[in-house]
Amino acid sequence: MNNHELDTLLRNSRPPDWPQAYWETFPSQVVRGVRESEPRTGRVRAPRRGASARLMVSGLAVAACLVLALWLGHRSPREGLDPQLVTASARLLSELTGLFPNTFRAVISEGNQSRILLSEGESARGTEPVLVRLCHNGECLTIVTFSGERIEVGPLRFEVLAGGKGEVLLVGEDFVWSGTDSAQLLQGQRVEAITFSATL
Amino acid sequence: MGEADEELQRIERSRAGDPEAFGALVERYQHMVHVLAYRMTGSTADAEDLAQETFIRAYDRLGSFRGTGRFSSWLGRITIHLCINWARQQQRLRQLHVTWDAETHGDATSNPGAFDSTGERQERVQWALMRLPAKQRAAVVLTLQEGLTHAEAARILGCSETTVSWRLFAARAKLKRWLS
Repeated sequence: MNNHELDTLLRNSRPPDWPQAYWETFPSQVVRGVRESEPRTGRVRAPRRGASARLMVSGLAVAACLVLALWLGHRSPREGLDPQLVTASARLLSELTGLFPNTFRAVISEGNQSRILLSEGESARGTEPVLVRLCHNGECLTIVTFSGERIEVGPLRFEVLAGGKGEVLLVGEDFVWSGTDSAQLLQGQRVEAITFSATL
Repeated sequence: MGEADEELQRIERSRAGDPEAFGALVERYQHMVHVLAYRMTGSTADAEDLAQETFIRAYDRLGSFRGTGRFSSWLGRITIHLCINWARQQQRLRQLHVTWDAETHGDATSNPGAFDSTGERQERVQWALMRLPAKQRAAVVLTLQEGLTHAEAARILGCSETTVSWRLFAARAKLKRWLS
């Protein structure tokens, strides 16, 4: 292949076009984002479009976390949080907060699936990082997040709150779970939760 | 009023805090920004995100547009820089993946073979582009695909024309090998 053939090949490679309706709505979405964010922050920030696609990082991010899920999500339930799990989760948290500064909210790993939750705009996050593990009928789910985050896992919705002494509270609409590193029941789930600072 | 004057007026109104005027600029350049972002990412979803981020950042930084060059070049520079940062992020994610793989399975193998090598020509081209380092990819996209001169590409990429030429030379050698 010579330069001319390569250049022709590259020039003829057209990207897929978006539907007309997309082009018609895109400018107004940008304008709306500008309007919504400007008065609040004094800087321009727009919410990302399409909740599912925007709150989740697909592709490689999910692929990266699939490996985590295979390990974190398939850990057999047992009393107390495994120190290896805590260490690995702390490292993952460090990586993800580096990759998504100010927008990373949580990573939820269950079985062979993993989700990274990001905030819609930048949000200063200075709260305590927390590791939560929910097990039910031998299947476990691991959440790495921050105090103050609202988490939704299936029908379960709760806010994660960390106390000053490393204790963690999960506050739902009709329940409050509190514990430090001890297993307790929450709607049939066995819960373990700990702040990362408590592990240092 | 000429098109250039109209554009300058819209830029001025946008600077003064008129998002509707900025909307007209978005409408004019949205296709260019989406195409650049797609060529740099190979993903329509990522291109959409980056296009939106580009315009938001542009609005945020309109004060730094001096009007000496073309608005499209200035916008292209923002797009390319965001895409290069995106590529760095993807690279870090890949490294994270490999690390986790090694730690959890004792096996650091990665599987780059997700692309169907028997696919259509366009897929092959995009696949080959994605294998290039981001800065070489940007040089190819801007010059060979978007038809900019080396000087224009250099302004967008913030480097010399010689650097653009060198990146193109290196990229061409790889692309020929991968696409032949």
